[in-house]
Amino acid sequence: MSLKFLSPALAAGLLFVSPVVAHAHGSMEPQHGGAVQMSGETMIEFLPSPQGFRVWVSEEDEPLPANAFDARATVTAADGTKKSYPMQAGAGNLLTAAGARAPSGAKVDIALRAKSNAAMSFGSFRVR
Amino acid sequence: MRSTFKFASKTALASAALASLALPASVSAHAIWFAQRATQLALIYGVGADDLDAVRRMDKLTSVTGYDDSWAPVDVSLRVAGPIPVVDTMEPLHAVGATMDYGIWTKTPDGKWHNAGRDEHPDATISERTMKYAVHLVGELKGEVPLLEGHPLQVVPATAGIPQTLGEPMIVRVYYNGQPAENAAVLADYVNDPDQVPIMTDAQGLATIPVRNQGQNVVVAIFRSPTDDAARYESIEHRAALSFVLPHLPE
Repeated sequence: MSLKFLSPALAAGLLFVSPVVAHAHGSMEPQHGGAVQMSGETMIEFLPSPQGFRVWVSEEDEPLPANAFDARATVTAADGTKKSYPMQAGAGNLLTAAGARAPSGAKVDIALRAKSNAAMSFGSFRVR
Repeated sequence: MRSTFKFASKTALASAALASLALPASVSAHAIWFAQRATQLALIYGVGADDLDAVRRMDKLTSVTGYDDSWAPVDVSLRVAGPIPVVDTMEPLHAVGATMDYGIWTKTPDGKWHNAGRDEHPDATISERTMKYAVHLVGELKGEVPLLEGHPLQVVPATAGIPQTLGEPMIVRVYYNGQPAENAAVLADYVNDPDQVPIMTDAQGLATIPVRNQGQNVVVAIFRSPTDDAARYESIEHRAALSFVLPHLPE
């Protein structure tokens, strides 16, 4: 099933999130209809859309400026094939990977490198 | 840096185990392992709560390798972040490994240790070469842990997966050069109880240990192999860590 015909809410319903490995204060509720995962204290919300991937970054309910990160999305298909997409900073805490696609069964890993100190954050999502 | 690996074959398991020469002179020497520091994955050099200066020992590292969840290699490196080295990669990791050649050490009757062979200190009471290895599992283990190239000594879960609750028994197997290692000393909690009486592996290289922490676990195996340079040291001490994290309840 292609995700491109799906509404954001339905697309989010096709995601499940790998086990959360850390917890911090703040809401774990997605703010944009995506799926969320914590990486340390950073919350990563991921939503595939017809235009590509969208990711929002926040910490303790406060948005983090997207231009503070270098970011990449890596899609691993069920057969192990990998494809990476650089992500671009958008408005506010939004990062996008235009044209990125994740087939059913794929795993999508979001890698964020903070420009200030090179600290890494990861989110891992699987597309049903 | 990249590496390759192999899974232990049934042939290897059927072969005679390689036995450690003798109990380690001391189990409370230093090892390397990985642990989370300020949300990053750091390489630790130390013993117990002694988290020593790993940055100035980075020149002794012989490899740093990363693996995805299929155990395919991914590009990783260590970068210095203040006083600690941390793993740097833009690829998701399922595991990371490191190896360190800590060199030749002798202990003289005055109690002093020297970074030299007994060819330079003929009165040495202890002379050894020391090798250290670390494997860290990121997230929950799915399947088996393969034997990694460049890790002559490795401690792995003997079963697929790791018990997820503090106190559960965990069976580990220690390998030396791909063969089960008999009489290797296994420490179940190298960080919080470094002076514990080690559990020795049997002829199949197996030891059953308790899972000690609902959090960071550092299991260390110690094995002593024959010298390959008798003029300089009596034996080679291999010290291998397997570290993993059990999740805590949601806040």
